[in-house]
Amino acid sequence: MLLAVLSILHGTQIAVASDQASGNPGRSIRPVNSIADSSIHWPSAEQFLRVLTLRDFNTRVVVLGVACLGLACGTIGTFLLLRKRSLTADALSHATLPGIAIAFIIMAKLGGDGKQLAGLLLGAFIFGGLGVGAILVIRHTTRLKDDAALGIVLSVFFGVGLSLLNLIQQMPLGHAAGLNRFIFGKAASMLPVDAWTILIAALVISLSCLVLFKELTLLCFDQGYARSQGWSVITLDMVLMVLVVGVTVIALQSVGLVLAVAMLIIPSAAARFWTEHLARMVIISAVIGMVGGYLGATISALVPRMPTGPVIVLVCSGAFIVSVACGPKRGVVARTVAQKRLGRRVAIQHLLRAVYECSEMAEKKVSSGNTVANVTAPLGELVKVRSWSINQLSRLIRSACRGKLLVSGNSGVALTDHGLREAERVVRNHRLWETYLIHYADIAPSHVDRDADEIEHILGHDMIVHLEQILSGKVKSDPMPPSPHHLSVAPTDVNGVTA
Amino acid sequence: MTQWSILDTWIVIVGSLCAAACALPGTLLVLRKMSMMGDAISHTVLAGLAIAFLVTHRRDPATMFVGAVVIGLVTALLIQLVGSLGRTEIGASMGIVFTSLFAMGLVLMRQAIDHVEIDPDCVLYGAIEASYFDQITWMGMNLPRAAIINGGAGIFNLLLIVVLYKEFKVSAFDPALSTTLGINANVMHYLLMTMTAVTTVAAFETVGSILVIAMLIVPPATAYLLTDRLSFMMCWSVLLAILAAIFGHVSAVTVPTWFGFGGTSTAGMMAFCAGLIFVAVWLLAPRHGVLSKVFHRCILQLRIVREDVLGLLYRLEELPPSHELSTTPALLQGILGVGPVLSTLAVSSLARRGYIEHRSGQLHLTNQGRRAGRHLIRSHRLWESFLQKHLHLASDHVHEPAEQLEHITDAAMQNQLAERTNQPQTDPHGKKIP
Amino acid sequence: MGYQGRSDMNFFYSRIAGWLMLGMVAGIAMPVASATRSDPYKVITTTGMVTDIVKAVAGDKAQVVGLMGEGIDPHLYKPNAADVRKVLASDCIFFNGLMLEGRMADTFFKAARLGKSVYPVTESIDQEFLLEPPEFSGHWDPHVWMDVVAWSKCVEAVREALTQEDPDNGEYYRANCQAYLKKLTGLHQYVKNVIASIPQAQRVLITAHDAFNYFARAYGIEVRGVQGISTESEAGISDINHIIDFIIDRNIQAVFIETSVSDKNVRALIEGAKNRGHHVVIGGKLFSDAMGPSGTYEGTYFGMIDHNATTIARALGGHAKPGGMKGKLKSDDH
Repeated sequence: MLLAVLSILHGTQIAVASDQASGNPGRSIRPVNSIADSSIHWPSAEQFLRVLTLRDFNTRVVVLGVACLGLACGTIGTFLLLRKRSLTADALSHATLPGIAIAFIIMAKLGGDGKQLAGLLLGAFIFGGLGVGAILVIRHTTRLKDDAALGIVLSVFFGVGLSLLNLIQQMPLGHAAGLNRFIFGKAASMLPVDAWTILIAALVISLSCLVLFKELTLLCFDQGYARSQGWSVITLDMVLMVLVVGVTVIALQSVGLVLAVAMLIIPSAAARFWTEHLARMVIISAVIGMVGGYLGATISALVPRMPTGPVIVLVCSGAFIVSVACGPKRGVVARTVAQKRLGRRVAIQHLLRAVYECSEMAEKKVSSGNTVANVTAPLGELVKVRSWSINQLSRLIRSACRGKLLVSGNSGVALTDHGLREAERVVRNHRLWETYLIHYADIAPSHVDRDADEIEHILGHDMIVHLEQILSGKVKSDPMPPSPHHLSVAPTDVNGVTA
Repeated sequence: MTQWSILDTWIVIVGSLCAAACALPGTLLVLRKMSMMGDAISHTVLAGLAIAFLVTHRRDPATMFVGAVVIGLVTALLIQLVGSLGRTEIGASMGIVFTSLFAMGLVLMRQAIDHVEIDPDCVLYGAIEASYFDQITWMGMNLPRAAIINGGAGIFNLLLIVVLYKEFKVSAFDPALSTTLGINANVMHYLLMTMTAVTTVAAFETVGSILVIAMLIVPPATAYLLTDRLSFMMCWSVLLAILAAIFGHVSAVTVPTWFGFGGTSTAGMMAFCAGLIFVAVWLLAPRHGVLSKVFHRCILQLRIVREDVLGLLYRLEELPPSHELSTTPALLQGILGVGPVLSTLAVSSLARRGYIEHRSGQLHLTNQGRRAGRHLIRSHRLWESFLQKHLHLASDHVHEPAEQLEHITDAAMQNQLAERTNQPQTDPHGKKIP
Repeated sequence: MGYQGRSDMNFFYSRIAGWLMLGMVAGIAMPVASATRSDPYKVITTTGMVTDIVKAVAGDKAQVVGLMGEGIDPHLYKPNAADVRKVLASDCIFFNGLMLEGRMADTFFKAARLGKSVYPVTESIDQEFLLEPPEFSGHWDPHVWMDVVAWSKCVEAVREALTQEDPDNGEYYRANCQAYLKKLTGLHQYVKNVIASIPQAQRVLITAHDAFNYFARAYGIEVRGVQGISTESEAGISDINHIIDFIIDRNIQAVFIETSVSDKNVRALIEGAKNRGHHVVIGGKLFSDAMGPSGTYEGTYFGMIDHNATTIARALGGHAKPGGMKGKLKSDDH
């Protein structure tokens, strides 16, 4: 008996070891590699070669199939993402259940085998279509959003399907077991006919997207304009959704639920991080889908016990994480760096203004011919201007000194020539904006400081020129307008409120 | 309903409690466009079960439940994280998180637990019908555990929502405003997600997944068509959820018997009934319903035709007597270019209200009708003057817009128009303004 | 006007709710199914295999009702209200156990508190007849019926349980049990013989999923499932390629599909082997978790095992009559 069990083994040596270790021979199903003993077997060079050259028939079929699927789903998924309907495939996969149940009943009643895949798929397709129809009706006739429409269709259709399945189980039709998952394929067991179907679907989808690119773009971004151009939004929406139903049903039966859903969402969501341009986004998304499919299939062909569909999903999520981190504009790293840089620029500008204003006040006190540039602002004064800690302040001053904006002496800091120009620019922007707010936004002079604080850093040259024109009669703007409110060195709290 | 027994009563009670418990957070989820939350968690549960099994080597419902709750929370947190960190649309971030976790679960299963069945349907999901067997003695009463758990979840959700009502409301409708009010929208969001995760998984364990997924979405979405106020919406969705649960079970045990079956899945039929209620409301809701929209449109159209008839008769009266035209209903219909049903309806309702009268086959305005007609024509001509004077439309282009605007102009607006156009005596076509 | 309408509707619903509440109170007040024992006493069983052996032992002394027809995957079974009513009305419950019925098993144990006798048939036999994965001890493989000897032990367990329920008819059950066991012994011998008639090198059973480990142990045939035991389980490309290598190395002639699992896994194997010049066919449909249509020979435990063994033997080059052990099998239609 032990021999019989042992002879069933996968990789003989490991299996034998673990069987002996388990200590009760004869009662084990089969020594499976558990987490504990599944040391990762690096594939040999020969195996690498075998997989990379696609020497195995099944590897070829699956790689072709999933790569094409990635292309098709990546393309159409972009539009779904922008329409906020990413989860359509998931809703559809549930909505097909009543169709499958009804198809089964009809086929079994007609005396055939109830589990003819083609018949079940037809039922699934019809109910997928009905589901999408219901989604569109809900979307266009109520104020509910897409997510609610998807959820309603998903749960109600699935509930009907469950009730029908329960009835089927009471019918003497036979073989109904496993019906609810019967049409869900597994990527690894893809057949050539599946791969060809996917290839054709990919071609159809790419072509349709190419032909209808402008229309679909408008559908996603500007429905009002699309309507005014004489396109029926509902018709376009239907075209898009018919493509989605088609690709979903094909994907469900060839690669299963999880991969079908993921392929429509993840590549396009990842592509969103690399570009703002729709055409590029579609292409990047298709490429991510394709490469993800290829890589995942390759890993699954190299490493034992790696289910193909889930591995592809994980590869695509990896691509998504990389995109989230490294995307050039929207990526987390890029955004953090940009934010840091902006924060520093703002802080330094604040410092310059503080130094300038301190100097300005000092100048008033001595009321001699001193220019601002020669006056030194003592640290004690500066620290009172804003809610800076001494540490922060000295760090800022150091970095401003490095940038040759300030020179620090014993009694405090003073502006360099370069720093003076920069400070004048900042102060001028600040005061112009304050004046504008006072005159045109009816904000009390005591409150404008804080508002101007946020704007001064992002006022462009054109804006300044414009402001000068508007304010030309109201303020003497050359060379430096006076502060429209009382300057004080009273400490201000975080919100900029004067104590 | 010959065989209604205590079993059915408890099924209905458990179903109602579960439905009500889900409908409360569901309302907020629908408002935040996160309706698919229940479905997402039902997929990721697999990964939680696999991990819980690998850690404990046990498959009993309690262990599986803990695994599912943990993964439910992780799902909720990750969805929020992906949504905020990646600025990804929330539906997409749900899809990304649940497919990835589901895939992870499948890889774990294949790698490590290929010879133990840990399908959620096998080890976690309960059935609402079977919940009756699992009874707990509480205060001397035997109560199904499912009723206590779902009732508890419902009360917990209710308390949380009552206590933090304002915070939930503001953060659901206007996250930016909530920040200025000192409410951390993110914290509220995580709180809602936690509430959802615990409620759904607790309900999965006692009544199965489809009931939860349906009750989280369908009743709140239905309520959204009935009211604009959050508090009403919550009450409605709880009420509708309970209705769906009751009718769902009743139809599950009765409808199939008409066709010779023994009954069908109660949870499936509850979801279906929730759908039926949605369709009914979608058709019949007082303001947002399809039929009522059609009805209101018809009423509006009828009013417009009625006014047009008055206007037309008034214009005909204005003409010098030599132009005397016959004013038979058929002729009116021809001039106004509306269908026979509408014009007949309009004429008869005008006659009933005493605006016009039939005299020798012709229609004539009564004094009351003449006043109304004068008002309409005055509005029309004032609008024409206004459009020409202030919007600089050519005089041959002002008739069409005025034709539409005249119907929505009341006396106050008319006075304003007259003021803005300096009380003109004639309109751009030279006709007298009455 | 809107307010008028709303309050009208509220009134309408409150009326309905009132009536329903009344109905529910009436429901609670109604007596629960009487606890007295019915005659003949009622036995509830789960899968067809369990129903079959309980019926065989109980004969006409008990009224045996099976919950799961042929179209049900026992792992994922969820009862409807009618099923629950049947369970409530019964006196005792027999089910497979070892988590075959998933959450329902848990429910049955809870039902024991309501005064039902509950018997998981596979859990009462000696553990040496059971199989478990080595790294997860205690999580036994529930497909015990594939091994006729182990299943015979379950028949004895059923007899003991029925005797306990109804001691007066103990002798009757013993006699039924002996007669049935005798038939099973014959079946066991038949299966052993036909499997042994397959050439040693060909004695490999390749199926869509992993449900035949007991069969393998009992009858000395290797099994290879394309995917794991769970319906969610999924294979990788390398697994498929390995099995194809294996098929070609061992020159295997046939692979098998199951009634409850999609045949695509297996068809992928066939296509892959064909591409490498090896001809392998679908040997037939095997019954794994559910039996054939009720009322047919394959709809009994006996016929199911006969069908499986005969199909396997004939496809892999062993000697077996097309009609199987009793000549009652329908010719395979694949």
